Amino acid sequence: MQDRQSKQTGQNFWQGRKGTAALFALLVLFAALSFRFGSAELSFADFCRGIAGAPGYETQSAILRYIRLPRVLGAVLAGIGLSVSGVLLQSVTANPLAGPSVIGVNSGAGFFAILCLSFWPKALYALPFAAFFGAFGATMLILAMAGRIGSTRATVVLAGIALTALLNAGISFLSMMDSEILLAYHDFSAGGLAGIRLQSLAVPGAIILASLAVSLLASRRIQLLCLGDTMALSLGVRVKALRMVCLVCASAAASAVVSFAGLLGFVGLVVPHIARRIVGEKTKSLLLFSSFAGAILVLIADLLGRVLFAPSEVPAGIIMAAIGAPFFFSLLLKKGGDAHAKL
Amino acid sequence: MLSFENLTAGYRAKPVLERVSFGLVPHTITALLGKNGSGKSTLVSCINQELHYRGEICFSGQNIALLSPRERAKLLAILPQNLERPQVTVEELVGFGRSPYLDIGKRFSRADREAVQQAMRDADIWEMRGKNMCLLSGGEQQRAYLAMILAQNTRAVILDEPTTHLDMEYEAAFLSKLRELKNRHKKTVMIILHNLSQAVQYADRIVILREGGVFFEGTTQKCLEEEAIERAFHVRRYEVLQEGERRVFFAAR
Repeated sequence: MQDRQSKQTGQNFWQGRKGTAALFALLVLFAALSFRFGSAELSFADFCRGIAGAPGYETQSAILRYIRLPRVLGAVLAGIGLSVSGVLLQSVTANPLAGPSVIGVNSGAGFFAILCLSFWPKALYALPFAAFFGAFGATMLILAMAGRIGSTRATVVLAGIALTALLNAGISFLSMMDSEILLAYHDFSAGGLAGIRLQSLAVPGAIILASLAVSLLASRRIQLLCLGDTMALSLGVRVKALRMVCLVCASAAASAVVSFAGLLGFVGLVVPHIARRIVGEKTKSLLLFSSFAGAILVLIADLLGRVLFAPSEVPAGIIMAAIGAPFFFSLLLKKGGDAHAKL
Repeated sequence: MLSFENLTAGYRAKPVLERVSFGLVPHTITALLGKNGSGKSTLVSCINQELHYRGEICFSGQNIALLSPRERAKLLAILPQNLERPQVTVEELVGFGRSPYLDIGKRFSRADREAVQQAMRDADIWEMRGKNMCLLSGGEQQRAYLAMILAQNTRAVILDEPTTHLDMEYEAAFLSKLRELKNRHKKTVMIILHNLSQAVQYADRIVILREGGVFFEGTTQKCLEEEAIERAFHVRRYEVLQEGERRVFFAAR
């Protein structure tokens, strides 16, 4: 009976509670694998004793608590933050190419990071704060401009592209001035989760989870934006206010990720598309699926980056593009023939 | 019911509507006619509070500009001219009509589900409720949207050229369905139409906008007697008696 109803309403496995439970199980599995394996090889017995904090296993315990645990949490939060940001941006701008980088998150963070390095070359600890304020400041500037000329779908994207070009020019100019700064900036721009501390995740984590919670609460209203502004307004949605709330949540979540993981590209753009092809257009399902899928993708990328070339490490951003892009291509090829498949 | 009092609106400095005043009569279909650029869609934008205007738009004496969007959406439903093709099922689309009644975080109640099901039956789209909107023909899409605004359960319904992209058969079927629903649910309907012949066949009342003002307002019978359409649009009227029923057609001179 339920199956028949699901078929009639177009609901699939991943939109239901069972699907959410399965995604949660997958997330726990990959988090556990990421916690278990890394560049430092630990036998299963050492791993268990390290968790328990057994005497004589302080090194193993320290690796698990201070290196792997923050990385696992960081990967999960980064995946959630970027995916939520991508879903919100693509929904409110109705632009499939919208992602955190389009509204100036990456360029704002990058410009402030390199500006910080120019003035205080040794102050690497200040980079996350500079990146967060740069990313958030840039997006707020875009929103202010869009609000002044009317926060329509196109103005946000166009204002974002213009500001991104300006900030990228600033990044190029500053990096030309000093090659050492360019080197430090390169690590930040590649994006990765190495060296994350648990304390540095508290505030970004709260921002990311708050953005997810607000988005889920407003998901029914966000969904109505797919009918166009006029129709959404006639159904009782305060379109401009909702769009602003979504843009603030999207920029806050992406800025929070930038502050601890650098410029992790790809997730915010592609995960929402993967989710859309699997769970459809329902905003709540999209947000939930994208959050889990984004977290799992970043976990896998980080784990492979640590294990494949151990003891060297490949930044998660590079691995993510290497595994995510072919998967996305396969989805495109599989569903490309559908009349209603949209990218 | 919905009334316009000294409504003046336009784009930039150029007014499209100037001191427009008229009202809808409860439980009737009013066809809003006018040449391109006469301000028909501007009027709908004013009702939807998308455009700044001077004057008042009142619903049963209440100034709708003072209502919240949700309160307004419980009183009148608007179907705009350009409709999107969202990637949702027909049932999900019709469910969107219940949005004004759902608080943030609130789930669909049994009453909401029943309203959606009833709206789909009323608009004859029950059989295609599981289909994706993108796979429907133009006529089927219009009926799905009609079901959506029926689920919105408002006393007044505003339709902006709902039959523009439909062929003649679908257009006639859509308007017949609209008249049937008006009679059954006691709705007050304002419909913008370009097809003058269909307007006089299906509407109880006619309002003609011309040069920013109301050129004619009254019953369809009075409109025909005063030859208002002929004068406003510079067309010629033809009448045919078909199976005892008088049909009126208009053609350019």
